[in-house]
Amino acid sequence: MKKQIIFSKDGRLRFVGHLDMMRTMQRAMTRAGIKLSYSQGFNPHPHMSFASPLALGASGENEIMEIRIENEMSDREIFENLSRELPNGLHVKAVRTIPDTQSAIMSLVKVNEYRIVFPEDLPMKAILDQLLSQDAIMLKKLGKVKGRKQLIDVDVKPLIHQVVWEDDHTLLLQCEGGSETNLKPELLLTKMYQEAGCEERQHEETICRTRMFGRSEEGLVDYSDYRLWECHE
Amino acid sequence: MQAADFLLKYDSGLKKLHGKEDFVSTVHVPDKLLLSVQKPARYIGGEVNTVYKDLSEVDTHFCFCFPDVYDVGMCHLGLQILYSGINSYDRVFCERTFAPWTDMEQVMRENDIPLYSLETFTPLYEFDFVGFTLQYEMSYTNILNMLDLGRIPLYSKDRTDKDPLVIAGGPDAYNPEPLADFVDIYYMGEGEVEYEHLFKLYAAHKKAGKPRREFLKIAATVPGMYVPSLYNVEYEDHPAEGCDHMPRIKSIRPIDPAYPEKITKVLATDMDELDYPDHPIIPYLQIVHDRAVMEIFRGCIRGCRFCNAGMIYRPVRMRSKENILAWVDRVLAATGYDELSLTSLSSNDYPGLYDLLREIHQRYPHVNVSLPSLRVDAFSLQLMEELAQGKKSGLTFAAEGGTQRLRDVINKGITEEEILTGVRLAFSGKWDRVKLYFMLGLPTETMEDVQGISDLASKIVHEWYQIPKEERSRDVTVTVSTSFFVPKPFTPFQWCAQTGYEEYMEKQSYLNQAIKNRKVRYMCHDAFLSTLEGLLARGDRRTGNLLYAAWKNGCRFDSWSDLFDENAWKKAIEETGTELEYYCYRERKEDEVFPWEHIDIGVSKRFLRREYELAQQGIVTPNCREKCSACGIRKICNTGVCIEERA
Repeated sequence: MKKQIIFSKDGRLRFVGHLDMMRTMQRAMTRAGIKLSYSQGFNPHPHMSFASPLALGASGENEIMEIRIENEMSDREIFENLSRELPNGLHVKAVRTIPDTQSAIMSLVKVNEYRIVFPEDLPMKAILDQLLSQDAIMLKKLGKVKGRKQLIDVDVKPLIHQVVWEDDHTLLLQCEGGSETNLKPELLLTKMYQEAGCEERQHEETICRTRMFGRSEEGLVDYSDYRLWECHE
Repeated sequence: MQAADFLLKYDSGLKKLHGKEDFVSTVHVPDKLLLSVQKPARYIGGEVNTVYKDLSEVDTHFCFCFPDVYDVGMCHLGLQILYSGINSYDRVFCERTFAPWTDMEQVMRENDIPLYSLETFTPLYEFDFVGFTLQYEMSYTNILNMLDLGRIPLYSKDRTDKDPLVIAGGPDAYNPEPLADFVDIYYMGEGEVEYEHLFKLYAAHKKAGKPRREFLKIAATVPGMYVPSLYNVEYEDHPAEGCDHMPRIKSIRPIDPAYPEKITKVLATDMDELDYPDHPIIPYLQIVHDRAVMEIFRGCIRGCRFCNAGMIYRPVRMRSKENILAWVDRVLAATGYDELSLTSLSSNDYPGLYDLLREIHQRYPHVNVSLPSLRVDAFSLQLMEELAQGKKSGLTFAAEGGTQRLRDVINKGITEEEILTGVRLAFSGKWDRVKLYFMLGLPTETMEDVQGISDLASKIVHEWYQIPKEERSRDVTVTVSTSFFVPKPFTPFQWCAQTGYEEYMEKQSYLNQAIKNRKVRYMCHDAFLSTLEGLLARGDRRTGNLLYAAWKNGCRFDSWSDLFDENAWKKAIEETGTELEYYCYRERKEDEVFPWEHIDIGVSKRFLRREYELAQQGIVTPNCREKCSACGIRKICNTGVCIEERA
């Protein structure tokens, strides 16, 4: 049985990395009596996957994970049992059952939305406007050239889909965020801090991933929108 | 929302916990600082099963300090035992802290952040007690560093009534003297026994508002407590034989007859009656051993003559099978762990071990069970495979000495035939990795014994070739790993001269050349660390100056080979005029007054001396279940193996 779970991650859990986060979830599931099914093979691993890892330090409002379970459990039971076992900072928002045949959420998510709050003493809005007015935004990024990791130059302008300023310091950024093409907001921020004359990125901002989208013929599909799900908070 | 401080934003509930808001100042660690260090999850607390108490309802606020990094400290079983034990007491609250890694230390110093506890982010200097566990000598500089980061005066004599009481315990506390200048109270023995009593006395003392000195006097009369400042060390008036200027100790005596001449360790009499943590804290971070841990018995019947643990934890006391099984049920339910470790000093000495393991495996087929030092036989091989769910882990033999003669000297009851029979069985079951542990520099060791290590490894490889090709694994690796023998307090070898650096290295390179078999891998280390370890293990009150100088020279995390600063230590040794000849290289005479002379672990000096002499003659001593050797422990307790019926 395949289940999709939407949860939030914030508070001190922001400092727990992706792998540690998976282990934390797995143990919470065990305590909650949710029996994950295991893959076959020499090193069986539990069927549990996240739509996309969240950077260390960032919070997530509507993170998506999928699990495959062995025992019959209603969405409501999972919601309640898991909520009871999660530490402060992790919070279940919605649970639904999905067809076994549905593609993994990891492969469906293509676009991420982030809310980024900048320190008030930097003119970040002007800086980003200026960058966007250029034909290309060239960044150095760790990538692979013929299988070898090295710094490469990339133009990230095409990866940015929408920029909305909620106020002078609060940016709502929609950018490419799938398994093939992906823009880590940290990369763009590094560039912006450079333009602002800061030598290093000081981690003065807060980053929150707010939504995750897929693409269909009609446009973006909001996978983190659980309002129509039967079981939600 | 601005990136502001950590606590108020994320744990609004925490402020409530503090009751009166100004009662305790809370340390703020801004996000940007946490994001600038490796593994920030080391410094955030809030793990599942963490305990919180309302500080306005707490009389005794205790911080358990582990003098190593979080990832190491959180594996420590004693931490979990004391944490849940102390927190079960009324009006006592136990929190935790660890040594910040070097990057975090730098951040803390640059930003004026004191060392804080992981539960309520209280700075160390605000606690009533800070308690250090002494697990290995090479963590001592971290203790000084943590006190400094926690803004507590390093020297006991410099602390005032507003400073916390610094208490220390653990296996290395049995030689309390190297840290005697820095520790206010030593706890000799098992933590479950006297803490509640001590804290009750403290609560009354605090209420009465009396000076700290008064409490130390009270503490000194509690069983198992040693208050170094109330004891005086006298030295002889001439240097020890062969030494340049350091005289031997003449006596260690209380300054007032009100305090005991000898401090006797306290110990638990019935293991089944001890509260055992079934809700251990589950770290977010992947720690070194990430699993539930159960101590199946305490102590060891073996009496290996080099082993400190084998003496200080006497007598052997078992936990019952029923008690262990019930705990396994509870702990797995409370944690969600899929790995379980049953610890002891020697697994096979648990009667009915295999029944216990089978039962656990039946109940929890998906849980991986690990055991240290399992004897290798047909039974255990099959079991190990079942427990590891079909995976064949490596086999490990702690042979310690290269020849039978040497193994008799150290009273290590393992024979070559046992090892060879074990590997023969294992190889025919397609096991392909064998690890062998040895010590170099054991008393009476000759090059013949060193050669014996290489010979034994070759014999094991030979056994593999004897198995028909289709029945054995495709390849085999035998790993030989050597460490250097360090004489430890409260062992029969406490009188021994420690092997010198050159001789250590000579033996190591001899062995390196002797191992020619290409299936054998050799792992070794540098010997200077072992020399230092020996110095601190048998150090005395004068060694405190050395520790202070080493810390001043920047020494931290000395047990981490990449951070160990040999030159800083050498400089400290020179600056303080510490004689290695005195602490390490001289053989002690029978009349030596040890720095730990005033500590009584139950096992008598007479017994240890007898064992020392038997070692010289290569005569083995039977284990406690075969025959009582009158070690003296029965004088302080009557429990465990001492009263078991012998078969």
